[in-house]
Amino acid sequence: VSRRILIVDDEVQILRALRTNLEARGYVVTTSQSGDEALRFVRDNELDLIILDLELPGTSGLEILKAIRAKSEVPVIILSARSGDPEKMLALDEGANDYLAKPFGVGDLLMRVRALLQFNVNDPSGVSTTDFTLDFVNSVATRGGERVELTAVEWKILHVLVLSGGRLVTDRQLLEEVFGDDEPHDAAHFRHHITQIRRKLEPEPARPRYVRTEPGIGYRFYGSSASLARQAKRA
Amino acid sequence: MTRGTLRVYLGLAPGVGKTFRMLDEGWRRRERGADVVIGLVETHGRKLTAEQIRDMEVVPRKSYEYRGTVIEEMDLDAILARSPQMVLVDELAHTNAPGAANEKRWEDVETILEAGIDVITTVNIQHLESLNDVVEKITGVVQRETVPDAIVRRAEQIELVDITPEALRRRMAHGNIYPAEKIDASLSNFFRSGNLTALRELSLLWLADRVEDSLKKYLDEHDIQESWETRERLIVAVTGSEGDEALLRRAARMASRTGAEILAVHVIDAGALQQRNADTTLARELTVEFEGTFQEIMDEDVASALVSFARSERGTQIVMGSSRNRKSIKRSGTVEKVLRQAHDLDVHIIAVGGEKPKRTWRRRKIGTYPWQRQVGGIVGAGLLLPLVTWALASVRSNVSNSTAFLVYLVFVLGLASWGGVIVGLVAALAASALENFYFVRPLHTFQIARPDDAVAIVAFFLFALGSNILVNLFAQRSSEAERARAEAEILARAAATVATTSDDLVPLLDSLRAVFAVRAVAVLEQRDGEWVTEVASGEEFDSSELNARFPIDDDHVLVMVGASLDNQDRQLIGAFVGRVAAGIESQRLAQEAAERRVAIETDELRTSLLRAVSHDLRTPLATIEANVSSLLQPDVTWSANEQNNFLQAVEREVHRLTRLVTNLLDAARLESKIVKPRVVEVALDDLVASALETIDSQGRVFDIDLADDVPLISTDPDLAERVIANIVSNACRFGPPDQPIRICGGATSDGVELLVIDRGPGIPEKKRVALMASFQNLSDERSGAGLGLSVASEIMTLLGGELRFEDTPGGGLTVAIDLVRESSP
Repeated sequence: VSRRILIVDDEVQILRALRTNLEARGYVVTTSQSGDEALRFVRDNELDLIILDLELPGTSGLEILKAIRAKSEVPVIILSARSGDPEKMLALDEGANDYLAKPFGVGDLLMRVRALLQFNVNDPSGVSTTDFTLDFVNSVATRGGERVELTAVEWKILHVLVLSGGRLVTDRQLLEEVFGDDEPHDAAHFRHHITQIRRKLEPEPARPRYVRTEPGIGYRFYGSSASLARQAKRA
Repeated sequence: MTRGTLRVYLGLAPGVGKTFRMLDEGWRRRERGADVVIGLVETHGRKLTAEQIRDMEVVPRKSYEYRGTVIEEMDLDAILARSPQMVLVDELAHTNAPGAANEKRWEDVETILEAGIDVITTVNIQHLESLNDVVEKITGVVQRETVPDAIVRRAEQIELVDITPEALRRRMAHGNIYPAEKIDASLSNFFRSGNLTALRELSLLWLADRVEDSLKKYLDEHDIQESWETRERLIVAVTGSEGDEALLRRAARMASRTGAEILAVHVIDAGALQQRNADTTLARELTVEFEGTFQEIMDEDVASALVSFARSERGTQIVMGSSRNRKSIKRSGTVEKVLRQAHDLDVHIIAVGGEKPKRTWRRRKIGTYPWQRQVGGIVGAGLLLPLVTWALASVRSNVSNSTAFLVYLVFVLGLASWGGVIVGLVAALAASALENFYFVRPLHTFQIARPDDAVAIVAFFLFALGSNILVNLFAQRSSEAERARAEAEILARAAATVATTSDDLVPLLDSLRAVFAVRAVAVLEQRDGEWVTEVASGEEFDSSELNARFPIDDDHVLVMVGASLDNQDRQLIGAFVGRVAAGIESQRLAQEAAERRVAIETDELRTSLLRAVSHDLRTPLATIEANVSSLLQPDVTWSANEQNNFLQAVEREVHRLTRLVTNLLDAARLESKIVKPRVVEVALDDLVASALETIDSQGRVFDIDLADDVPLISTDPDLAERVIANIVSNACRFGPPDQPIRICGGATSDGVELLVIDRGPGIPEKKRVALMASFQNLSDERSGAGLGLSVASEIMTLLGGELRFEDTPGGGLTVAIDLVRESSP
């Protein structure tokens, strides 16, 4: 079954480039240059994913996102014009699943699209990379054939990240899923766990390949698609 | 056996040349025929030092094994057995390996001296026990090895190995002190120029034994917040009498011993306002001379006012005078009251010879007469009136009744003005009764035979009563007038002090607070319907506590907290409000002028910015256009490999353009001040990892070394990431390709420091300031770098941090990025 993707952006060149790329990979693509038109389309059609530019003429991207979220949980990737855009934080708070700052490479977008569409791409019972394997069932981690000891919290963090399969997990989501809603948690302590995980599993902990970060926003796990992820993010 | 002599070379930091000087001195002695051996010398791999040892005899070290590692220490026994005339021992503060005879090397040295052998040794200022804490505060580097001051002080000779901070930093930059790979955040922080200056001054002061005096100054100058030793504050209670001079001079002597600060205060007794011949001019002048501050407050209760003033000003000691005349101490009672209330404050009572100011006859308001005086008045009436009666009765034949009545009246009024209305009433009643009994027929009864006598008695009583009330009303009025005059005087003085610093409101509020003895005074501004504190003086308060509001203009009010103000006070404050309004207005004007200036500067900057970057913008565009149009040429068919080359060139130039445009946009937004950092807490390793992902490393190797205990950083992650990316990509562009770029981070005393160390050509010191100041390129080779660095520097300022350029030891540029650490929970 082909997945249906809607792209909303007012820039024709972007629409054309993205459509070509996505269609080449077997997705069914609809494009729209206006927010209102996009909203009508969302109302009348079943969709698997929406790629939404925040800066649109007329109804703003954020408004459209709110309208979509009012009736649907369809995954949304936000495109924002600037990396430091405060709007992107608002959009994530409003329920956007991921974001990408313009300009971006197509590789990064495809990685996010795949992560959001293939919900259970990873076998939740474990994960295997070129550098390490994690067995969530038996709580066994190995790196280069040798056993690595992980603490209970580290297992929990890894489980949440691996389960999300490359999707962005915000700091808040991660804290809630690992520690629960009401348990008080110390941010510094939490970062310490991340550092420890990297030390134990990453081949180069200071330049993590698997447990990646969007500072101040969240984390994502780059598993099998690591090679794509190595493509430079563009500031 | 006579004890050997000790000579100490004292250094302000590692690398000043202590060991070298020690060896030099050793050689000098040896050439004069002395038997000199080396007990222990640490060369730290420094070539010059190692050469200086030459062929001097070295006592072999002794090895200790501790937890699997072998540690070499000075062999004390071997030195004693060798028994030379003089031994050279490096690093006095060193801690010996477990298992050695003594725990510390200075203990070894003591033993050697006891054996009659002379010792030359070296020690760094930060290892002196008494300075350990303060050095740590200055540099943020913890020194665990210390040597007691007394050991060093006992040396026959102490020589400071002095070097200017600049020279030391140059040595450091040349790699003469530490090899480049050993430099980390804490070390580079230690060698900051400001720190070195402070350490140098500290060394000189320690030698002069005057550290205490200047400590506070250092901490202030180097912006060291933590009070390592709270300074004493002496509250000196002056009275406006001749004794003040002796009192202040004495207090100044006490203050100079402890490095204390003097706060002279004159408490005006609001209940004794006729005592107005107090002259505080001399006291003021003296206080200024002693670099103290002078305050005047008014209160009914002098002792309580003094103690609460001392507390509110965080005084540690109260110094007050007491006349040598014992009677006056007893009578004044203020001293005892202060002693009773002072609790934790030290109170010094200084005997001063000066006379108390002349006492004028006091008058009191109705109801304010102390009960002692009222009782005294009644007792006085009980004694005086019978006496007068007896005297009059004994000469009754010569005195008419009306004369007797007038004599009574004089005494009744006297008692009334002494003891107040109640005493006057009692006296009038008693006098009427006595007249009736002794002078009105029939005598010795309370009956009155003649109606005109009855009228006379009643008239006497009413007249006595009326005069009594009038006398007291007069006293009250004159007291109020006096009070008003005193307050006006204080206001005039306060206003005079304010006039010198016209647009700063704080001193004005300070004096208001002192004059009316309130807890806090503040100016609130109305913004969007909310009242926001604009300037405040005194304790923290919250809006529920406000108990006096004085409108200044439509948007500002003056508020006071903890005030018990009467109507007169309010009128007086009204006079202040005018001044505050003027202050606010002049501040507003100054701000507008500053804004206009910024606008002009921004315009000029934009122009130079455009000029500077047009070249950088056109170059990548030209490359892109050339490559793309090549691809689109109809007359050639490019091979796949050729196509790929064109496309790669395009992609590379697009990256370059992207970075440049991002910097340009950032620069424009920074200049127009529309960037609002979104500050969150992030981990340093996350920031670095994320920044490295965004840059084109051109195949460089990174040597990343982040300390384990780095606290979280309070910053805007996007902006901070851009700064790091800018700095690192510059390092990639200008560092030699075969050298790794070192990135190391760690906590400093007040923040987090990230160092990006390259081994490229570096930036000459004189160009650095220009680089940070505005958008400019250093040269064609560094095109674009200037913009990136100045944007990075601007961003760091916005984030509350700092960007510093330093030399990499052995050549190259080290950029230190000072980040703000999370606020401690």
